[in-house]
Amino acid sequence: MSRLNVLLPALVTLALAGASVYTVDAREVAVVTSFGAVVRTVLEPGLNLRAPWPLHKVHRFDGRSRLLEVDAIEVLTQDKKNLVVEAFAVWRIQDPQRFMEAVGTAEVGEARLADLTVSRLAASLGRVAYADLLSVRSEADALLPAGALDQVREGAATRLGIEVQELRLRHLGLPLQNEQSIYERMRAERRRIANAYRSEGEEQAIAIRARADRKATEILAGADKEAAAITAKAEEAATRLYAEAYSEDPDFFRFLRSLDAAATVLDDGSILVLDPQHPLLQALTEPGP
Amino acid sequence: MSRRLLGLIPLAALAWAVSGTLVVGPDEVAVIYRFGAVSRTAGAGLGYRLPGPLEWDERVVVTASRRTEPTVLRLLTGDTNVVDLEVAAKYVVVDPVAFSTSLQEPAGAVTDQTLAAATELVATMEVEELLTTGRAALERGIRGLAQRRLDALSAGLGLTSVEVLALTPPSPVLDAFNDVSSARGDKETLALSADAYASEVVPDARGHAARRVEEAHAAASERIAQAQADISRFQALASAHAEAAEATRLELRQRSLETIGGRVEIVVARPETVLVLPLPGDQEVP
Repeated sequence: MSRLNVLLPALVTLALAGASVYTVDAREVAVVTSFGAVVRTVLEPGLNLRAPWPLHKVHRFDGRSRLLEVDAIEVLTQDKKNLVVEAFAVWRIQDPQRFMEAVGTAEVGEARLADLTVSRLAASLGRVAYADLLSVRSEADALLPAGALDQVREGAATRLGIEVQELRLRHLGLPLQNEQSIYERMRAERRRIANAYRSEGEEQAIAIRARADRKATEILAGADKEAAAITAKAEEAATRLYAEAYSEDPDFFRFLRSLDAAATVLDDGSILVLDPQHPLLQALTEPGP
Repeated sequence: MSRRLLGLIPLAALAWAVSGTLVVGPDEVAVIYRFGAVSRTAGAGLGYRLPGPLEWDERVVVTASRRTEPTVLRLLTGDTNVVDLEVAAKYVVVDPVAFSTSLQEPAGAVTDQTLAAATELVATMEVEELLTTGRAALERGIRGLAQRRLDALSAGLGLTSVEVLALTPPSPVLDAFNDVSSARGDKETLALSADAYASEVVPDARGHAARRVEEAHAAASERIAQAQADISRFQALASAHAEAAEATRLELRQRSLETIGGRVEIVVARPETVLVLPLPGDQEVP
């Protein structure tokens, strides 16, 4: 009985002590309320004191960053280009009290953030020209119109208690009904490029052939020149040899040359008229001495 | 009864204490929380933490390579063309504490960051570059960009690779793109066949040229040989002539006449009686 007297208060004390502390995990944030009124918010993990229920109530939220994937939206840029964009945001609860009061649950928070993102994104994309959108400014807000991220950030922080860590486009495309016209343009562009390749090829081939032909002609002309020089040199050498030899007996050379010339000049069918006094005939007709 | 109950207390305390024993698998790291705050990590093997609710742990598989689902996107390029891109990323956990505390859906974050980086980079590149040489640069670019952003979120993840599994023009324009490739091939073929022509024509001309020069050399040698033969004949006759001038001349004359006589018609007549009649077609009368 005396032992039970010791044990019972001990157990009650232990239970009270257990009900008076709570832990907040590194992955959580918490809000402590007392009959609906916020007593404090807890952003750091660890062991904390509280008044036991029903005086204090601890509301826990997942404090980690989470993803919001927004459905594809069709927007019209300032220069009337239809685009389909799909955005995603990385967000986490920044102010648990505001989050709890304004939103309550993660699902509602996500839906509210999605609405905010879509409206801000569509509005800011409508104020920017397509080309400006593509000109990358910085890694932080590539493909986003200037200020879009800040607007979403500010709205989420002040209205929802949410910190938007990132907002990006995970897809940038064209609406289905615009694809056909783009395809037409792409096809025309490819045709132009293909034609350019082919005519460049022909141009190149003609140039290569012409160059080869010119080179061949040059080589042959050079050879002709060399051959002519060789022939001329041989002719000159032969002439010099003849002249040297014949100058030894010019008179006999003239005689021999005339004989050869006569043999050449008188060809088939020529008529040779001989004087009856010709030595040849004399030899035929007259008795020898 | 109460005595028995009291006797159980040390046993219960012992069981509670033993419940803090950790057996960490070879591919795991245990992240240990004390009252909610990260206290330390325990590697593979036997470990200990204080029993709950004082401490608890979360196991993170660190050695396994994880992979995002391949995703296909139809994206706008920098020159307002459209390409179909399929991309997937492989990643590992590099910081178990950051991995377990910072992101609710790490796998989704990797996918989204990969797609965002791909969308942004494709929007800055031209279609020609993307489809020909840009693929490796695109993969590197996506990996770098996505990794920096994951680091900014303290994801505790390391991208080991980003693979562009497919990068093609959309099927309705595929034939037009193929035609460009075949035109590029045609261009090369035309140049090659012209090169072949050139490599035939030029050596051919060189051969002909060499032949012409050789022929000239041969003709020249022949010309000199002919001259030398003529000269030998002349010198032989000249030496005969020097010994007996009249006889040699007569002999030569007769021999010529014999040669000529074989093919011409000979008419014997006194020169003053010959009348030369013009032949038809002759214009002048000598």
